[in-house]
Amino acid sequence: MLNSVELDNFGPLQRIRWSKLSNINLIIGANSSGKTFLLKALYCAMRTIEEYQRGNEQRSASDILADKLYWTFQADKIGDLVTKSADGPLSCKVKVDSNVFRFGFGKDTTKNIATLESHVPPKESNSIFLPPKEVLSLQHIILKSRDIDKDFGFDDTYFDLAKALRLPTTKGNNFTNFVSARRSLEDMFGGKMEFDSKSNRWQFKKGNQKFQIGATAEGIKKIAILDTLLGNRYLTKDSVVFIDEPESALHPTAITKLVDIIISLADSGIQFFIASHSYFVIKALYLAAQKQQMSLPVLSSIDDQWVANDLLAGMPDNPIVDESIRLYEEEVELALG
Amino acid sequence: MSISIEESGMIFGPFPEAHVFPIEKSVIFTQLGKGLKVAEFVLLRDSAGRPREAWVIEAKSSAPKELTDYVEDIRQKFTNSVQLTFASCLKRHQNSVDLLPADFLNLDLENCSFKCILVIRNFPKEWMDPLQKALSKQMNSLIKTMCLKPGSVVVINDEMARQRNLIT
Repeated sequence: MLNSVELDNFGPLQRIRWSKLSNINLIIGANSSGKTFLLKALYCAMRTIEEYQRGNEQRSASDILADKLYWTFQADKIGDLVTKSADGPLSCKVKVDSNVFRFGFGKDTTKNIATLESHVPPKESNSIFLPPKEVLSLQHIILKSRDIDKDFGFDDTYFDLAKALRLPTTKGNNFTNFVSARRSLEDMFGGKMEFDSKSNRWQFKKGNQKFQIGATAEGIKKIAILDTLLGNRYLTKDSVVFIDEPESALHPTAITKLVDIIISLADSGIQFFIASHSYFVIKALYLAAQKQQMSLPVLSSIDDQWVANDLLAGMPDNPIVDESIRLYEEEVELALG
Repeated sequence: MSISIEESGMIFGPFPEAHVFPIEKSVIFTQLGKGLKVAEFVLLRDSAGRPREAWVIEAKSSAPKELTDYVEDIRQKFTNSVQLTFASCLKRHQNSVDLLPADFLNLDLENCSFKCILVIRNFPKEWMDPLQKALSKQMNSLIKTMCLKPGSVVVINDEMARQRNLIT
């Protein structure tokens, strides 16, 4: 698991120090504060560690990382990821399973990463990035765009997910928590998504009825992605799951249920990084931290500064709660003058 | 003449006596016997550019320990208070004329907005909105049957009450 993060001059993230990470970690902040950027930066680091020396992979860790950064952030050259106003180079240091992985490069870097140091042994796990929008209905377009056309557009978070969803569901014993999580995910909408190899399309199966992907609700497709990744064993107990805006396309009651499922999966070992600006997500995680007395680190962007807190210690000051209070005060002002 | 009311560690007022119906201590209420709950008082409020309003005030010194019971208790108090004030203004109760402040006897019940305001001492702002939502939902039947306007159920703390000159 990721134990700590230190970032300097990484795009909009000028300085981040986040340690004592737990199985569930929350990132909150306004639009364009850099939440997604942070998730993607961590995803690139994790995937580099996971892909290095896997099977017959010949590329060096630097080459894997350079490719990952290029296709994830889709900048003309990876040096463009260095904060524009920064004097120094970009640097990233993470600890994974208590081992250091660090890299850094300057603004002029096109492909060769200047420094990379990894003390993390090869990992068999697969980490994944779940973007705000579902990808099932676009899966074949994403694969064609990237596999064949090699176009920018769908970044590596989408491409990797589209590839991971291609793996068939595996029968046989799965981890107990994964089985119950899949059951809960399928119960949320009373059915499940299945890949129909004849039509080469996903369809939603509810009882004896089958619905085409186009007639299936966004929320169902989104939940189905996690269900599929658990079912096809792409995710294992050592995986790290990065979820960007879990709230999108989900009703508040579905958000609460999804948070419950995430907690259960985290309990079995999967590590989650969740970026959100939903009051419901934050509140549900805060209550979970209190009920289970578990550490739930939260990194908040407040006035261009990143502040680390723990939901176990209480709800931190943040613009999302502030805005809910401001709306309440506006309502009282309207009512009472 | 002015009147102040001390409740739950807060001093409400001073208000003109003609504007305050101290419903909980009034004979109109006490003569009804035990088993009924009402709010502390009803205040007639005049604000620039707004028609006269009747604010039913309930004061609390503590946060809910058990939300359902807490909200139901407040609902009963507000519901009984609004109904009793209407009935008194309509002189349905014996000796209403003698016991009700003058301005209440002349209240334009057709146009007067009734607002039910719960004031909780030292209550954090981030807890008030959810409580206001829970109370509004519970009071839906009164809001509908009495045709109360949106925003007629409000939860505030002592700091916000002070800003509105409700407490000193």
